[in-house]
Amino acid sequence: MKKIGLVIDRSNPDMDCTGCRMCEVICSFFHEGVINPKKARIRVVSEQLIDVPTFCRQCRSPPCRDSCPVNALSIGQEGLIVVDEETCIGCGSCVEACPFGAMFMHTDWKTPRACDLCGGEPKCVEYCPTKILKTYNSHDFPYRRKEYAKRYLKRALKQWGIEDIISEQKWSSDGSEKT
Amino acid sequence: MVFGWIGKNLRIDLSEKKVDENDLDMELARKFIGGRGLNVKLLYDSLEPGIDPLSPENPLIIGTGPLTGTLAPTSGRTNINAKSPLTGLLGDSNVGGHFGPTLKFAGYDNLIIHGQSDSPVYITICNENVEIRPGAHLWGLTTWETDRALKKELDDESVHVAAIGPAGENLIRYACIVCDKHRAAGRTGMGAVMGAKKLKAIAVSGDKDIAVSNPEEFMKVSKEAIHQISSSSGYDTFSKYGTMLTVDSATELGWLVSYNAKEAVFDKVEGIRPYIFRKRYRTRSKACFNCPIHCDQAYHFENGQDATDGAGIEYGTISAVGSNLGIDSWQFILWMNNFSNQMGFDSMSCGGVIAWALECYEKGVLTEEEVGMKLGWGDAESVKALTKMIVKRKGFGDRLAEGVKRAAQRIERGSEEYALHIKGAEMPYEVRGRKGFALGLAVANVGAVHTKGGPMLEYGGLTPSKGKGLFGVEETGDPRSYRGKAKLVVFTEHVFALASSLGLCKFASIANNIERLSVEDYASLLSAAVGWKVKSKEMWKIGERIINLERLFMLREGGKGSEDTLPKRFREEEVAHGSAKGERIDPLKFEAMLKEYYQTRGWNEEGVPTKEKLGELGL
Repeated sequence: MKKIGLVIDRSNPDMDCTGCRMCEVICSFFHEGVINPKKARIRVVSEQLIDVPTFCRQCRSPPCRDSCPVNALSIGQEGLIVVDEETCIGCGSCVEACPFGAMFMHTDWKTPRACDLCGGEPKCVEYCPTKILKTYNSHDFPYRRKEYAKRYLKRALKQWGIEDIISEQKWSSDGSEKT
Repeated sequence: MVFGWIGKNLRIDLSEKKVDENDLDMELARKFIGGRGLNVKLLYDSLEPGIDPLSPENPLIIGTGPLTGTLAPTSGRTNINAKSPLTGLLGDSNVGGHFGPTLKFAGYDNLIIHGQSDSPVYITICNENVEIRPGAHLWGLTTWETDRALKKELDDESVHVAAIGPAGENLIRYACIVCDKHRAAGRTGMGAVMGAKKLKAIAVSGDKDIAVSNPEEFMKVSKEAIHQISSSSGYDTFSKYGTMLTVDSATELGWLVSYNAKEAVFDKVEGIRPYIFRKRYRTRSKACFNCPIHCDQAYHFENGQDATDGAGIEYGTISAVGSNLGIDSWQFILWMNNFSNQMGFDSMSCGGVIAWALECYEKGVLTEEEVGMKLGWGDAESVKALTKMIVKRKGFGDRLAEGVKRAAQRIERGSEEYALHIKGAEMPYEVRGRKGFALGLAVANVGAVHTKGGPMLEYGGLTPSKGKGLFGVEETGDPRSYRGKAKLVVFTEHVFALASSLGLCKFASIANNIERLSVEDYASLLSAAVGWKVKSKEMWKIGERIINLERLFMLREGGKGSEDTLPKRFREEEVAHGSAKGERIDPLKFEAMLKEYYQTRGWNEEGVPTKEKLGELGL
C-alpha cells in the first residue's frame, strides 16, 4: 500500500522554518473554514529564535491510540490516526500521550483531531514559503531521508570548513591516496 | 456576523482600573477600514486638542486591520497611535510579528488604553479574561527580561508580549514599544506614552476564530497574492538579506547617510557590507505572521565574554547608528540593535540625536566638560556610553533623551544648524540624491518617517515607460529628477496608508516593488474577507481620506504647512562625494514640487485641505 507522510527537509542552510505559521493558518482554514492557529493540526514550536513545525508522525505503535481508555483511536489508511467520534469521550488522554504534541483539542471541539494529510495533498506543504515541509511515500521515503541526510552532512562539513578536503581527495587505481 | 474584523474594541481605563468592550462601529470601518485609518479617526475624535502627550488624557490605541491574522500574505501588522511626545503631533508606528494577529485571536480588533495608573501595571488578555495586574516587579526590567518573566509568570510559552523597556519608563521621547523581543513599533515615541501610563507590558493569548465571508474566494485570492509576492523580482535577495541590502544600493546611488548627513557616501562602508553580515553573523531567516518574505535575519555575535543572539536588524538602524556616526563595525551595530530592543528606544532617532551631538562636539559647540566625555566620529565606545546615559537620563543623556529638536533649542549656540529633523522627528536620512524621498519626508504628517510617503519606486523598477504610464512623467523613476514626484508621493502615501489600515506589510505592496500587491489586489482581498464589494476606486478614496484626516490632526495640534520643508543642510550644502556629487535640494524647485503636491491633494497653498476636498471625502 502506498503510504505518505510529512517530513521536514532541513538540509538547506538557506531554507529553515521561519516561524511564519502559514502552515497553521492554512491548516485551520482548510479543515475548519476559519482562521485560528489553535485549531490547526500542525503547529510551530518556537524556542528563542528557532522554530520547528510539529505534526503527526504516523507512529507504528501510536501512544495516543494506546492511551485511549475507550479504544476510540485506531490506525486507518496511510497509517493515519482515526478518531471514532461515537466512542470518543473527549478526555484528552491522547493529547497528553503524544510525544510530539501532535494531537490537538480545542474548547470548541468535542473530540481531538490530528493530521489527516488533507486527503493526500497536504495544504501546509503547498503553502510553506520556504518549502521545508515535504511529503514522502513508501517507495521514496528511505531514499528521501538519505538524500536529506547527505545534504545535511555536506552542510555540516561546510560549516566546519572541511568540505573541500573531502571532495578533493583523489584515489589512485591501486587504492593508495594521491597527494 | 462580522467577517474579517472581529467586531469588538477593548477599552481599558488605567486610572479607574476598568475594563469594558464595545462593538466596532462598522460605518467607521467602511470609511477607514481599520488599523492606521481607524486609529487616527478614533484618536481625532477622542483627543482634546493641545493636551500634553504624556498626560492621562492621551489614549494609546493599538489597532489591527480586517486582514490582520488572516491568510492574506504579510498579515502580521498592527498599528499603534497616540499623540506623539516627540513631535507633539500625530504619533504613528507600525509593527509586525505576532502581537496583532494574537490580539485578534483573543477576540479584539482594537485595544484602546485610557488614563494613567499610579503604580506600574501590566495587562493580560486571554480571550475575554482581561486583567490589569500589578507590575512593580517588572518595572526596570528590559523588554527581553519582561518577556521571559511574563511567560514564566503566566506559565504560557505562547503568549505574545508587547513591552516597554527602561527607556519607555524614563519617558525618553523616542522610546518604542517592543513586541516579541525583536519587533519594535519604533518611531514617534509610543513607548513613552505607555511609560507615562505606567503600563509595563501587554501579554496576549487567544484561541478564537477569524471568519471570512467567502472562504473559497479568499483562499484563491490569497494564494494568488502569495504567489505574486514570491515570484516578484528581487524576492530572492530580499528574503536573504532584508532591508540591509540598501547599504549597497545607497552607496551606489549616493545616499547612504553618513556623519550626520555631511556626507552622502560612507568612506568606511566596506566594514558594514551586507555580505559580511551574512557570512559571519546571520543564523537564520525569521518571518512575521503569515509572511512569505521572511526579510528578518537573525544573528549571533560574540560580545566580549557574552555571546548574543538577536533579530530585526534593518537598514534604518545600520545607517543611523553605523554610517551616520562614522562607525564601520558590525559588532557595534548588532550590539546597538540588541541594546535598543532591550531598552526599548528607537535606534533611528537615537542615531540622529547622537550624530547631532558628535557634530556639535566636532564644531566646538559642545565641550568635553559639558558632555562628560570625549566624543568623536567612529568612536563606538563613547557612543555606547552616551547611549547608556540617554536610557538612564543621566547627565548629558538627559538632554539627548528629549530628542534633537528640544536638545538644540535648549543648548542653542548655533547647534540648531546641525539638528536634522522634520517637525521634531529626527531625520537620519540622506535625501539630496533622491528628490521624491525628500518630498515624501517633508510632507509626512508625523515628521521625518520614511514609512509614510518615502517613494521606494523612485529608485527601483520604474522604467521611463512605466513612469509615463503610471504617473504621466518619464523621469518619475529617476531619483535626481524633481518631475513626477508629487504624484508618486501621493500614490505611495495612499498605498502605505491602505496597507497599514488593512494590516498588511508595506514590503508586499506595489509602492515598494512594482510587481507586488496593487490596490486592486487589496480590494479583492478585502472584498473576499469582509463580504463587501469594494472597488479599487473606493480604496483610493479611503487612502486619501486617511491622509487628509492625519493632516487635519497635525494642523489641529499646531503643525503648519510651512513645516513641510527640509533642514537647511539639504537645501544649501551640495553633496561632496559619491555618485550624487553636486546634488542638493534646490529651494525653488522643491517649492514647485511641493506646490504640485498640494494641488494634487486638493490642498491650499499653506498645505491645508480645502473645504471642498473635505466635503468630497466626507470629513
